[in-house]
Amino acid sequence: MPFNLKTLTFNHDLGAATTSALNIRRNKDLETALPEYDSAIPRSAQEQCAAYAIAPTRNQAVFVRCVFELPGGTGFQVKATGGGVLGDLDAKAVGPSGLGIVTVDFPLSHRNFTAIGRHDVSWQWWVRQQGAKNWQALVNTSHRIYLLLDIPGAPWVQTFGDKHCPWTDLLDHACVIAGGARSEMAASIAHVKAIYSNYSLRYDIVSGAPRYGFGGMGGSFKLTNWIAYVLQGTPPAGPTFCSGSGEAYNNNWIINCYDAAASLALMGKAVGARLDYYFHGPFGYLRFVLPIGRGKCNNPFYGCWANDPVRGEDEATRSGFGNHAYTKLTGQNNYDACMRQWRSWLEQLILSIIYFIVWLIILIITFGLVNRIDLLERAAGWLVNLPQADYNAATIDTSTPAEAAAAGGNPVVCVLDFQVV
Amino acid sequence: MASNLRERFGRKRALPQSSLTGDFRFVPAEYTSLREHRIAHEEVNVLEKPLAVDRLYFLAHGSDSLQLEFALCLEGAAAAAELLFRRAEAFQREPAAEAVRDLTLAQGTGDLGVAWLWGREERNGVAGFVRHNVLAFLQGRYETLLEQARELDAALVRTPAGAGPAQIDESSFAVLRVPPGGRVDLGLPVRPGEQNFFIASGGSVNRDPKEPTRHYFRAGLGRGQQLVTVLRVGSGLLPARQTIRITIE
Repeated sequence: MPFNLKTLTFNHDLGAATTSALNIRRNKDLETALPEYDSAIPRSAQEQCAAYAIAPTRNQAVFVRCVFELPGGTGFQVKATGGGVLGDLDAKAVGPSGLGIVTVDFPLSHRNFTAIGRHDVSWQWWVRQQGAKNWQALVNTSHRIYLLLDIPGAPWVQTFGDKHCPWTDLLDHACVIAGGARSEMAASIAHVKAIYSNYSLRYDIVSGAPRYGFGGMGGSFKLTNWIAYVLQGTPPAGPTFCSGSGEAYNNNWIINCYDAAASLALMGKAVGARLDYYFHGPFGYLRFVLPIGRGKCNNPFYGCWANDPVRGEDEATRSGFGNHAYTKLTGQNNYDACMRQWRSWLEQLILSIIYFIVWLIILIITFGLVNRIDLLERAAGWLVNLPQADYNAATIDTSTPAEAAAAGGNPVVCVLDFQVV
Repeated sequence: MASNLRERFGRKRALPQSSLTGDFRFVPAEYTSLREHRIAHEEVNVLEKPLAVDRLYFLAHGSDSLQLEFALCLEGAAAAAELLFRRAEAFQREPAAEAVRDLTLAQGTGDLGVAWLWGREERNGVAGFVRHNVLAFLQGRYETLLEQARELDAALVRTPAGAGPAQIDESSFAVLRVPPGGRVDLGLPVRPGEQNFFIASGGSVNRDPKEPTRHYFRAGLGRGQQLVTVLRVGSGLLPARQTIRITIE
């Protein structure tokens, strides 16, 4: 029997994520492979995947479990080089064994788990007989490794066999969007900007209705459709929103703020950022904002034909948000992927300079420990890391009694879920 | 708006506790007001809360479009009414209070129903109603929406219905056994034109990557009796339900 790496398992402890990879699945219908590598089953690197949570594995003896087939009575040494973020595997004794099968755990002693990421890595495995000098190439194994800040929070779970275990079809996008982020704030900002800018999404200017199943305060988000239509960019050709008008557009790329908030919370949570969905109603008349995929606007429901997103300041005939949805990070500050604050170019320029100076001062006096990158984004109108009062001031117009009467709601956290049936 | 709608329309009348016992298949050509429409896109889902077979149609006719949703709630008419209000509340735009009409009172559509035009100078609106345990929710051109709702309601009235829940359960004597973390094939036959939806406890039902028509149960790590509910949906709303008992041991 020749020496062989039979299987390699990253997720060897289905009940914990400290020394083992997380429980994951591909999507609603398909599981990921376990063991992740099996020499008898040819698979791509993407199929031989694993996800690690950075926080619970910190200072832990994380290891991978290998099963080797070997000739009886002979002892070997095995090591692996390369591995990208997983690092080299130091040499370990394998065998001798009379049974011809040996299980050996290799510590990930040289891993580099520091930031969110999606990494396609390869290990070159080497083997030599005990006492031999030269290493012989054994096999090359390739893997897709997802690094998350922490164990994804609800509605994601870590119950083995559950369809709410994190989906790699989502992590393929979420880990790239937030790639390099080392904090929940940085990951959340990256997701806000990506949802708002990267997918050609446009706000529903007729009724502000959701397209992806989460209805204001409850429901199940159609995550499978969101991944296919939005993140993978393959929506069905029809139907057409505002058909026949200048606003005609693929209806699957029309969204409202429930869609934006629910997707932001689910994608943020998937990479370990504790973003929760909040419903705020009544919301009120808007200040000048930039709804997703739209221009300057204080009249969000101008319909297919009217083309008047901007009406006079304080004009009571304009439409407003009956309600709104956004996310909060750890129940504190707001992150909104559905709209940006509108600013004139001069205002942007002045604020960019001021915020840059403030950011730099904070960075210097804290010796680099506090990196308020959100300040740099706010100058451009991004609604990120904003305390509730600042968020309200930036978005809700309460300057007349009629406008003040239309506002007055408070954000309420909602239970988020996604379709798995 | 949310509380207003429920206050104004939800508590006015008791809903009949009737459920469809015959299947309802939506074919646009069978309705005068929808005859010219073609289905541009169609989706079928099973909702878990409330448990419902949900069919979504996007219809087009020239520059007009209609979004039509039917949801058959297996838990009864009250669940359908709850779903109606959830749908009616799920807009960021708030209709003027005086614009919201009682569809049942105005034109006898549904056991419970609401409709509104978004704005005086606009042509789009919403109509939603519950008949038996079925929600119908329409969004499109308001001047045709009310007639479309009336015709759809008449078709639902003609569909066989009974006082209790429909007999949709199929007998199943299979008891499958699987170790914790293991997998067991469900052995369900593939029927053309039908889709299976699965609700499982203690694990999940997954598609075999090598044979996409085959499904298997992946056991969780806990031992004990578990259930897999299979809802088989054809081209209509009424599903067939099979329950498979699984012992994780």
